[in-house]
Amino acid sequence: MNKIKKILIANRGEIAVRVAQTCRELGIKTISLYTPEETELPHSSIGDESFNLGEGALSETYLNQDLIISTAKELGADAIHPGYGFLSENSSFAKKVVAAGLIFIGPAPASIELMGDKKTSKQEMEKIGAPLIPGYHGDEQDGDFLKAEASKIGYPVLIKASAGGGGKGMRIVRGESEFEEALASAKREAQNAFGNDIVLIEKFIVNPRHIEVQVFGDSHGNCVHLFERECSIQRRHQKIIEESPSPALTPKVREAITKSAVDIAAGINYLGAGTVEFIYDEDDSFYFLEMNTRLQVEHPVTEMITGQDLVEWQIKVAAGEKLPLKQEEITCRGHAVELRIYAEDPDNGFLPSIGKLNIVGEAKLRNVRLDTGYTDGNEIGVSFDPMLAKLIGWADSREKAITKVRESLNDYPFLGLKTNREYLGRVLEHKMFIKGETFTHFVETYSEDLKKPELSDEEVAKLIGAKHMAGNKSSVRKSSSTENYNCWTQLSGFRNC
Amino acid sequence: MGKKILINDIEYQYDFRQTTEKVEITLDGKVFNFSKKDLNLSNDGRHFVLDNKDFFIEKASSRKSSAASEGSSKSPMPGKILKVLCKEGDAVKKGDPLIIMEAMKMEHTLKASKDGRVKTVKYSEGELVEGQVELVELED
Repeated sequence: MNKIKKILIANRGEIAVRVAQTCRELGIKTISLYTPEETELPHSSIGDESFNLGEGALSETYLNQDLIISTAKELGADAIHPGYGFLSENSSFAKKVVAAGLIFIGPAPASIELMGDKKTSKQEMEKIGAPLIPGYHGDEQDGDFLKAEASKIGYPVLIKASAGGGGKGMRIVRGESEFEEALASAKREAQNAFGNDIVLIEKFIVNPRHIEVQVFGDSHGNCVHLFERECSIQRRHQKIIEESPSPALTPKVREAITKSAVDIAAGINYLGAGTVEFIYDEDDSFYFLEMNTRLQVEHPVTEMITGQDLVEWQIKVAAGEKLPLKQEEITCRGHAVELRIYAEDPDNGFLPSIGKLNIVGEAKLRNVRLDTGYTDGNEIGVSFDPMLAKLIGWADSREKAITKVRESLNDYPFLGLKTNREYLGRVLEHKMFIKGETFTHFVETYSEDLKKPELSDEEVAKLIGAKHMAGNKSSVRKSSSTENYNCWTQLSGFRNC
Repeated sequence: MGKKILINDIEYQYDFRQTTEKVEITLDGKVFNFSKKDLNLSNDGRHFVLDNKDFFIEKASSRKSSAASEGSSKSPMPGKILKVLCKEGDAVKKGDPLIIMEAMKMEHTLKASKDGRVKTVKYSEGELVEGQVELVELED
């Protein structure tokens, strides 16, 4: 890693904090970015040096490619880590970084370009022989034509923005009569979000699971997988609970799906961390969905079950080193579950909430990790994504990992504003979740079960009593366990076992 | 039932007594006793967590009853009006889409809270709005 001594982290929030953590552990200096409204947030001062991007729209701050590159050059960085979101999957940015004589910690621009467009990526995947879902991915965008294609595929169908991601510009259409309105709405949202309203149409799988495979490639021709993650629990098409390994896969299907992912990554000479996403059907068939050419939000579950630091791997392969481990040396141990804690109200359409975050809380159980970009006293506004934190827990079985994260929700009350904590607890306690019967429509299918339970008179009385006792001072309830192990020290040495 | 309190916007009436170690709450004629130690919930003075459930507790006088918002359709948060799907005088059914707005880069559809007639539409397409402002007024 001699080539990389200083990294500019071109991101904010929890992922900026996460990348800086690994850099410190490796003795690499960092430069963090912030805007004037973020000076209270931890990421604004996490680096050895911090740079103020100034005020303005995102295009002038976190998406300001030229400013970010010139800052990296001026402050003597060797490399730029883009995190996820923002410029992480922008091939022209990656090209500019390289042209400026810096290392882009991510794949080659050609890989980003290929996978960034759903249509061309599927055409390339067809050549590689990846499993593809039936659909229309062509250029013709006439409404009547697309409607005819939808009928050919057979309802239900899915309309998706070609340049999309994160559920924006995506609509499920259950019958012909809904098609026109759904198409107009999807195109409008796509135009607003991506500046491009081209859509594609696909067969909609009735009981799908979202299963993705973590892959890694180096510049020496090696390509490996680090097992799968199941991310079926979603709301508004965005993941809220992820786990590894998937409760659905038999060893035989796991072998097939991870092999398919490695074939895809190797087929495009992929460099660095990538995720191959699949839709998994009840009959054990799976279809390529897309490849994300960056570190994923949910990478910690993979770190917990493999004992590896994926940011360290990214930095090493970007510096031209070989992958730290061979495929047969990468092992999966136990089970990890991640909960995404959002500032939102699940009992009111998952609408984002705002307010002052008075107290985050702290881990009280072993092998629990909270990745967050916020600290006590921060104001939560509407300028950025409402994800507050990721709570990740590891145990030697799925059942125990679920119990661990459910219990740990109590240790992180996120006092001050409405979050989805309570709702996440309801999902974790649902019998179908516990059985591993997880599908991407879980939240809608069991919406009745997941509703806020009625308050009992005793609970009301207890709350009134607690309010009287509390007065105006705040406190976090002490747990009986005072052990507070850091997951990394706890898991160290597991690489060798 | 001398005292009033709002828990998650619902009003409760109760009586409260305490000794050095115990608290007695009377609610709807039922009496509940708690040891003060068991009332030590995670809280910041307003937000309380009981069995991993979130509660926002305020004095009854500090806020207007939430029933006042019935029959109106408010913006859930600051954002931009994308489409107005109704006009003044339209008859609407509960659940009908009235306005599509964009906030946090997502579309939110505001739906009619009851059957009725559109009395006023207060914003037009493209306008920016604050959170919790009335966008459409409905009448029976």
